[in-house]
Amino acid sequence: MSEALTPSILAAPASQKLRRRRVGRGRAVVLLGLCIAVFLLSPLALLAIDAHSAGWGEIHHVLFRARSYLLLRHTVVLTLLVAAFAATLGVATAWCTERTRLPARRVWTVLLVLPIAIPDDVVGYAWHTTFPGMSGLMAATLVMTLGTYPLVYLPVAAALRRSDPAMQDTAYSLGAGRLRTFLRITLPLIRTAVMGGCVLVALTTISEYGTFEIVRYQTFTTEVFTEFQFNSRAASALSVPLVCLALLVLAVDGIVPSRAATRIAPSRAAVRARLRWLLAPTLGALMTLVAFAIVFPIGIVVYWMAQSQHTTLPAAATLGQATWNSLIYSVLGASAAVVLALPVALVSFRRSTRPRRMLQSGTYIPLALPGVVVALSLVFFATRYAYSLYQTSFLLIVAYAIMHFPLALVCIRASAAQAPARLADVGLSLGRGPFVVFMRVTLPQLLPGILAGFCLVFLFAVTELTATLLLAPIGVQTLATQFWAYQSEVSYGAAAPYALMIIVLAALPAVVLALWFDRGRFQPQLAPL
Amino acid sequence: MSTIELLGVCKSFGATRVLSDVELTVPAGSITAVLGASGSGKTTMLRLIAGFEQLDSGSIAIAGRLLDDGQRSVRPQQRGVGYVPQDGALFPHLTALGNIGFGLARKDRERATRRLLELVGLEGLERRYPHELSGGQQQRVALARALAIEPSVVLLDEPFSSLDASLRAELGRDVARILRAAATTSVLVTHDQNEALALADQIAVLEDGRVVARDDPRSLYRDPPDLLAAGSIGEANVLMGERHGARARCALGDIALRTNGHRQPDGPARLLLRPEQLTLHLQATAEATRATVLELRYHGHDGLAHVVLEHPNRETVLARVSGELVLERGQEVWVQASGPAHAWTN
Repeated sequence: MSEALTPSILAAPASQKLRRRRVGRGRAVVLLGLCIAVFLLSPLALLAIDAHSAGWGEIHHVLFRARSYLLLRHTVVLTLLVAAFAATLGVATAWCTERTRLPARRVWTVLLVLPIAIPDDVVGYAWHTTFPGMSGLMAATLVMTLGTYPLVYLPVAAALRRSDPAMQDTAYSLGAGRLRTFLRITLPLIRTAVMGGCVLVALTTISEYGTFEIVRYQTFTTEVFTEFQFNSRAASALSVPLVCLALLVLAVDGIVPSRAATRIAPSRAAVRARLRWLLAPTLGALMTLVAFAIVFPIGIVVYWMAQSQHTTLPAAATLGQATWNSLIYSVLGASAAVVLALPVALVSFRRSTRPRRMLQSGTYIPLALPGVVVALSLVFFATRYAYSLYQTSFLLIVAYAIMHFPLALVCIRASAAQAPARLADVGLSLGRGPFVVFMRVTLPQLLPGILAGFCLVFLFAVTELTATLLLAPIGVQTLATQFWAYQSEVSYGAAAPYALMIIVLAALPAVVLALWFDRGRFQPQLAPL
Repeated sequence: MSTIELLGVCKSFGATRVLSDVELTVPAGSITAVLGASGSGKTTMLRLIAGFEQLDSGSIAIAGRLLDDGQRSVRPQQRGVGYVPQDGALFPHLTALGNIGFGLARKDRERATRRLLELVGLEGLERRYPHELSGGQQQRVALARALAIEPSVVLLDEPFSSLDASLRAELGRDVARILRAAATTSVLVTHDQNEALALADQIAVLEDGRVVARDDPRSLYRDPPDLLAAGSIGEANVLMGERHGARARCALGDIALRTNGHRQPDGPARLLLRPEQLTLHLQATAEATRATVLELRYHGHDGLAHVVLEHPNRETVLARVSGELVLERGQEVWVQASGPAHAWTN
């Protein structure tokens, strides 16, 4: 080697500060990411140990009976119906706000997203207390569709904004009509977004408990929850098919190729269609949707609150404490999810190799772990291995962090995708160390994603019921558990203030998210496995 | 003085060989343009000098200081190498002032950045964010930011590629002037031969990960070391010929050769004639060869005529003609060549 060096190099003073190469170039973050992935997937391992210790006899006994078939049919039929309806509603509303000259567009974008701030069990409660006869598949489908369509609306609206209108213009110029252009060009462009949204809707439906308990529709999740109160081994055995079903849904998203998802910055805004005579019907339809999804449930909650003031004393004594608990748990859970998601989002920031991408994809799996399963696995872990943690708030926060980690990751990755590593390179070339560059260049770039991730996880945590019921320490009440306790006792009036408070807490992050997505700079997408 | 020396530099990404055995010396204080098609390894070469990537083998040294020898490598933040990436890559959350001052200590920041803004001609825009600046202004800020750390070397990665043609030429001249005023050693990567010819003191031609030619622009254009280099800079007519001594016979007649004092064997050779060396006549002239017009590419101030020579070889040549001249396809013309030509004996 040395004989190839020119004299000037040989004459140089013993080369100073020559570092060992390639050490630390992202290795540390991969190691950290790996640890986080193991942590996130631990509920699966715990579930396997739990089910195994229950014994095959128990599993066989619980699974292979007529009731399991009924539960499976119920769950699958409901999930398919809700996903189909939510997809239709989500795409239709996104088309209205993104591609038509809708008056007061900004207001509609917020109103259409707001239903995610209303817990599904509160919606179920509103319908059930108003129309007690409403129950079963129809009621469950209605409530879940109204509560989950924003999960399709948000990514589809973002995808429509991102897709280059020149493609549609080209289709028109080639003689294709409106319908043909929508079916052949627009729909394929937003297909990935629709799929991603539907997967979220399906997973939410599969893991929902409160709503189905209220409208008396049995699914795997309600059965697991009920079994847990009598026989925890049967519950863990039943969790196995539940998780398999959810993983199957998640896998569907990975199978559909996402070749349409090229990230191009549209050269200009799309030409919005004039609604003309369709204006009145469109506005009517949107108003009906908003009336059903927001006005009706909030109205009923307010109605029950007003009722209770005439009849009984409001059971609002614990409202302040419960609000505080909900707030603090959700804030801590959201912070934990974001802190965990940050290193994982950076794993493929500099080098996007196949193993690194696989590591990242693997961390989406908790999306398929219903709250009840995460909670059960943590209860199993605490009672079996770490009894001092049993019945502590810590466990609940861990559950929130694991369950909602993928949502935080989606948001931060969307920001990371727009913060090219080249910027960090320039920072380094200006003589700043990696830490300074991270703090002053990379982190500010990721900030929108971090904040959005925080809002999203907070929103889901504050409206979460199942894991909260199972993990909240005895004597600690949150808004969700208090609402649930009162409405289970048919004290609808007493439950109302708690429901309203949840909506109030969740509304602010929901509005922030809606406006954020609408600005168009920020476009998270459910990454395929 | 900050001479950059690359010796036997090899770099692969996976199975793809990007640079193989690159040898290049960039003299201190000069502007060297690295010219090559996309995928020729230009950007990788810059990233290696900046320290964003590490060598597989070979060595890189600046001012005699060894930076990377294929085993060990100095970190980019310790190299003092200014880097201006393709589209500027300004930090979007910082103002022009914040961008330029990024690499400076807090106490010098204000004064130094104002001086730099003046140097790049952007006084008064210090509070603007990158999205409030035009493409050319962004590039000026990116250059000022790179110069702020008083680097021994400035690397520019196709800095003008996203600008429109008129702005490009103007900014190019400005940047060259600023770099010369700052007396830094600069490497400018480009795929635009006109840019390279106009701005650089030295041009290195990169093809398939190798430096195939390296010289000052004038010599490289007139006197390329081989046909590959001849074709990569400017338009080139290559004709088959027969060499005898200091002259050669080809389809355009008997032409003088540039020998540069070297003696080359007689025999079949390939001759290089630039389009400026060919003159078109509309009437038959002594010592001119008859030809048929294929196409006239009109450039406004001048044009480039493609003609087929009436010679058994049926070779096509390009001749630069006045913009006033109008030629029809199939029209008969007479081509006269003025030497000296460059010849390579086969």
